[in-house]
Amino acid sequence: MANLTPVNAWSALDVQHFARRAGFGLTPEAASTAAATDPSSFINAWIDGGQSSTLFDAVYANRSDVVAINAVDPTAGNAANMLAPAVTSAHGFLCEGPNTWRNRLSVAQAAWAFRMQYAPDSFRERMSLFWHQFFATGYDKVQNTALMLEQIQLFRDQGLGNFTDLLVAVSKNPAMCVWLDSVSNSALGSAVPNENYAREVLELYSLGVDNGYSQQDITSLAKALSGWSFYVAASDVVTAPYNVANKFAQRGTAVVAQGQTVPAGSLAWFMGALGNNRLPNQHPSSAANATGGSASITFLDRTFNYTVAQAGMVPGEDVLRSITTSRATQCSEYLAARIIGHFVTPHFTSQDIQDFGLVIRTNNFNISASLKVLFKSQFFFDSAHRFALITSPIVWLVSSCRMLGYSLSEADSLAVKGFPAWRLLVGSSEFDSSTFDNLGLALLDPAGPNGWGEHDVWVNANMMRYRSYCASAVALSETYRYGLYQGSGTSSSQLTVTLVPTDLNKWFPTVPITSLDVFNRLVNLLQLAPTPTSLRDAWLNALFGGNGISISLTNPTHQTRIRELAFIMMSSPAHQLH
Amino acid sequence: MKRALSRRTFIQSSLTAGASLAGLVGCSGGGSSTSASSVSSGGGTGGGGNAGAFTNPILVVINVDGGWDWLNVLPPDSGANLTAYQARRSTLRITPSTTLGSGVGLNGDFIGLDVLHAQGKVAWVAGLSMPNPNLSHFTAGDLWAQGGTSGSNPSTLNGTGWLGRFADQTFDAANAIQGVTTISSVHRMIAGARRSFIPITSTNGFRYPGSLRNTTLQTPYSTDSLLLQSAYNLGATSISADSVSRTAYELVAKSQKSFYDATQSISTLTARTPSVPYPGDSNYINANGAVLSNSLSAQFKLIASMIAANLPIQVYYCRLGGWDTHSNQLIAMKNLLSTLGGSIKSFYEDLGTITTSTGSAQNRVMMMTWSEFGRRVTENSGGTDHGTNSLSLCIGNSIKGGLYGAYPNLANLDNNANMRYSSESDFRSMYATVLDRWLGQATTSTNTLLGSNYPRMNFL
Repeated sequence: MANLTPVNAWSALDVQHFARRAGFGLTPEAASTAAATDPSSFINAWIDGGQSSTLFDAVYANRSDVVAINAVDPTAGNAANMLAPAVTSAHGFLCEGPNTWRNRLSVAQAAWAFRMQYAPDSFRERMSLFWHQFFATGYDKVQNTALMLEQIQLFRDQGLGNFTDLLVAVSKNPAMCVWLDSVSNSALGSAVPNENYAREVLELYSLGVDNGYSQQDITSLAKALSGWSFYVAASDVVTAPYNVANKFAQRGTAVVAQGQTVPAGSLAWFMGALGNNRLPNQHPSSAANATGGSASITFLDRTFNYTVAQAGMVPGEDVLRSITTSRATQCSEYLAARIIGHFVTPHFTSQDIQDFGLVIRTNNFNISASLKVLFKSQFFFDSAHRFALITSPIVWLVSSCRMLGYSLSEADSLAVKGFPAWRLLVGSSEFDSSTFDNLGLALLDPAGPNGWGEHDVWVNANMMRYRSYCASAVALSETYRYGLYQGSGTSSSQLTVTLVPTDLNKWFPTVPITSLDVFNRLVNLLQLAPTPTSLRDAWLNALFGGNGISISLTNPTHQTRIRELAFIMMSSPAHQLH
Repeated sequence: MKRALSRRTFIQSSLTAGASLAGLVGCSGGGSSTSASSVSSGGGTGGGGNAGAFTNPILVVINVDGGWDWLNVLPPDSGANLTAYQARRSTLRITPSTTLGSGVGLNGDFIGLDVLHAQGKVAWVAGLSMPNPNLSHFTAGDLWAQGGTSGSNPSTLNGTGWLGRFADQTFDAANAIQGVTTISSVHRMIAGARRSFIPITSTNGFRYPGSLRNTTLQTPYSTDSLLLQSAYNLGATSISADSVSRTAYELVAKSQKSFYDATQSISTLTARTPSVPYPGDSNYINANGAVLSNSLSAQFKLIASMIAANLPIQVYYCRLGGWDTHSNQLIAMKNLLSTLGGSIKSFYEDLGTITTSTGSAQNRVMMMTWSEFGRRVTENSGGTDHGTNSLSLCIGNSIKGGLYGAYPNLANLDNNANMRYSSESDFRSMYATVLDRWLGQATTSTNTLLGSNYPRMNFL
């Protein structure tokens, strides 16, 4: 049984456990400060968020990307086309808004990783990552970075509210509408509804495979959600400068497609492209034009008229909303299993699921309120759950950068910005986004709507290989030289960037005297799972010649060895757990 | 109890599931209970008289991921099935370009496969089905992966796949890499209890130490692989004293050990220049103007590199996704079939130029595709939803080409308008045939791996 009564006091190590799971880690100093406060108040504040983001917002928009962007040549033969020059000065990540046309997955991945590392509200980023793993949607099919990031923003905005509302919002989200074919789902006349999204709603997004629904329920839900689509308002249409015929959506406006004409200048999605000014007629407005000639559908043992909109809803919405009432127990327990498996332990019992499922129902599917209970609980802080979860590669890499890299203000105050070159971490160029895939969590690009899984899916031989490579980038100050294309007729330039800038002195607020001090500090900073003394001594012997060796941070050899020790620790099994 | 371990025992026991990492902890006498099977690997040398035609056979598994609409790959071309097909596929129906006989035709967009078919190299194993099909990609994929009689209950098979259990039974414990997947995750089909398939996604930088961007580190950091051994705790005498995290710790350490062992085996692997153009290459002739992906090509090229390097790999696993054609199917299927067929044909021809001390690569390789299900017979508006039954292709010089299995009766569907199960086309019959007649398993061994005795098919 999951003991969900709250803890009354906590230690700095407890705080670090909480921050590793509910964020991307806190330094030992920050954890010590927090440990002096009341856990309940601290956790409430952490979950409620609302931290000042003035500096972050300014940096994110204008100075966050330290990697120059290649020029794009115009296509030949059209006088209206133009060169998009290289971007060399400080800039934000060019994957949204008016830069949507650049549309590079690597840039979008880098943008989100940067946010995870530096956004003041860590918890919202961490929850957005959870919901991305839950409602896994992929660039491979959506083919638009702005729409992908619009979905992630939805998780930030609504990921801590009511789950039913979130499910409705995701169902109306343009990236999702493309990903699971809602844009092609018609229940009009003789059309057979496209059940792709309806099936995954029940299988993956609310109940679990074969857990309390039938094929007929899938068909009914598909009818209810027919025509759930979007259009792109005129002000949201972005034209590619290199070819004015190429139009991109920087965001979408949700709509139920019933044959309407869209506002002047707007574009509707049709057959995989933006082209129409008219929405297809896909959602019936009466029994007369509904598939099978009936507006009445049965869904999870209740009957609905899906052609009529309920107050404050679009047609079919009441059907979708009924899942959390018609199958409240199954849905709450499905959510409970996903949440506990992500945040607490891979080894939960069915009783644990029932206990937390009850909390979710008691809180009327309010995510924030339910998570407050969980994160404050004896169950969460149980010593059996410490370092019992294998860390996802994204959380592992972002957390490592947070612990060893510069803080936001430090990085921004440097003449050469001290932010990680996230775009080169995720791939060797703006066309390459292979790193996260090789690590096992291709951010924004899952292979399927079931996402990735948890815990043991994060380790295999290849993933460990890439974790080692990333560890060398973070701990060993790896640099990378790349060519910047500046347009035809202009010579390219070679630029060198440090992948993850770090300052050894900042790792040690207290100057270490001996090699053992170095080890102890790095264990606290990187937050390794308990490591045997024999292993510690083997490492210190190999690198320093013993655990009592005098250390000088100004000694170049010692600097090298300290970085190597950090590399070894980051690569070790103990650092893959959290 | 502590005892010294030989390298062979060390690796073998460290890969033992559920046991502690004997090699890493040096204190697990009980962990090394798994003796290597006496069954010899490789067709032609296996016991039981079911040897394949060539020694050292290689199986290349191609996952056609997403559930392909194989009815439009092999559409009916006559009879009652044609009538039913045309009625339910008013906009998506395909008029085949050639006939396979028995009322079945071949979609003309399956570029390359038409040529291999004409050469008699392709077995079309149609209507593959299971008694309790599932329309979820993930559950159906798991059922296909497990290939056991208790398939609907993963726990009874410890989550292993039929090729994973094959690996458990036959892979040599001293040999770190005998099974490789070219995608970053390890599919359940190749997950064993004791032996690991190694994911290798590129030749680039497959060595240690390696930096992320494959460049030289500015500072002369230690380049000895001892550093990695140390990092991975391979030489340590005990793992975490904290029993709490021990299970997770060991899972990680096991994967790291697999990687480390692989680096010892294939440190020399370099990219090979293919002898023929593949889909996605600029000099590939795109016969039907389809939009081609280089995803499968890249994996085939990597596999060809490893075969040319004469690595002792028996089974490769690769994947081409995108087959979940709920919408826009006419265009998507043309692109997908052209990519799949063209990639297979290029790979087959590329293999024809590789000969190692182990023999002709083209003779040694058999390809087998699988897809978790076929699609609903009745189309929706422009696409098809999840259905039942599937089609696999077995391709190679040893294959007796033709149509196998039982093509479904499209006029007699189940209550959800899906194709019905036929024991003549049980998917495990294909597995049994491949295990016996290609991978050289004894009949009894195959039956044990699959949990029952399924009738063999005659394509081998």
